[in-house]
Amino acid sequence: MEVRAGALALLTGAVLLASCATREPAFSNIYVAEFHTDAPASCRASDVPRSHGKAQEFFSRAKEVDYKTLHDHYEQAPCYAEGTLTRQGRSCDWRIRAGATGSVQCAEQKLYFACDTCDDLFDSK
Amino acid sequence: MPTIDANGMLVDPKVIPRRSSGIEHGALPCVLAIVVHQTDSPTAESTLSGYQAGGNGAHFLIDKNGQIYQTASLFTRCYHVGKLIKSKCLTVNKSSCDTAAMARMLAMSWTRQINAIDAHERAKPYPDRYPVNDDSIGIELVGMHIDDDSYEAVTAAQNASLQWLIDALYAQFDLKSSDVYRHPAVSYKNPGEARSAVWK
Repeated sequence: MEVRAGALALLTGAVLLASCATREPAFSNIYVAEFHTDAPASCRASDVPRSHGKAQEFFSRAKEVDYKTLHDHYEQAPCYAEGTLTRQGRSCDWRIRAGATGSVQCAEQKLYFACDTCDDLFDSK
Repeated sequence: MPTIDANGMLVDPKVIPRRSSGIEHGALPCVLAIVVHQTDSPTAESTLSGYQAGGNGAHFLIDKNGQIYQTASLFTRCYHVGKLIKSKCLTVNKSSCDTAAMARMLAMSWTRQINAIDAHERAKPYPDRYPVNDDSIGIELVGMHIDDDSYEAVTAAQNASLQWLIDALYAQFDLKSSDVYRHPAVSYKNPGEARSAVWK
């Protein structure tokens, strides 16, 4: 009986591992298209990720948060990189702001993100 | 004329006490300013319910129909300003800035810059700097954000109650209209927050 239970646990673990390894990323085709600033003297293009790879890395590390969390605990920077990505087969618009916050707009739905481990993706000089 | 009781609660028929100890974080040493916010919630009840879980919050909440709730004692501090304050001299009176220091900070990357400005500003006394959690009262107006630059409009009933409440606080703490700020003036928030709030 114990052997069967052990085998079942191993099998379950293997299935879970396999499903993790083959899980589709939430976003794909992440491309930078533009930079925008409302404060050119203080918030510049160098303050946001400008390469496709860095933008992709931001969304892979960032956590999804609700707007209140974003508002209460993070600063809203006056400049951002923006571009497009694919989510569930649909094209969406994204923004990544200096200060390591971001958003993804898919039709009427808007998702918010914050990254606490993305310092290396933003200019630190 | 409203009064303040021994627990720091405003006593007046216009104000319903709904104190949540979870949003009170130690003593409020002094009151030098007021910061006006919007909740990003659809109803007062959703904010009051959220306050039960603790965390960030403000001293007062004004519903869309103008009903005022007091949600924290005026003797206690709420986390409502945000962790980094902006430079007041840069936005209000540039000639009063330490020009060399500001130039050095503005040349930094945005994240380093806002941290350096915060440290620089906190060394100043109020009113040379913007208010912080340690010296200000927060007033929340119920209202949802619309996008990164705007919130829904403050209702006429909310503005009437806001003016009544601010007048009461002016009298209690010897404040004036220049001591009342919209949240995004003070820290790095959605620039549309409380934009349509009006007071004298």
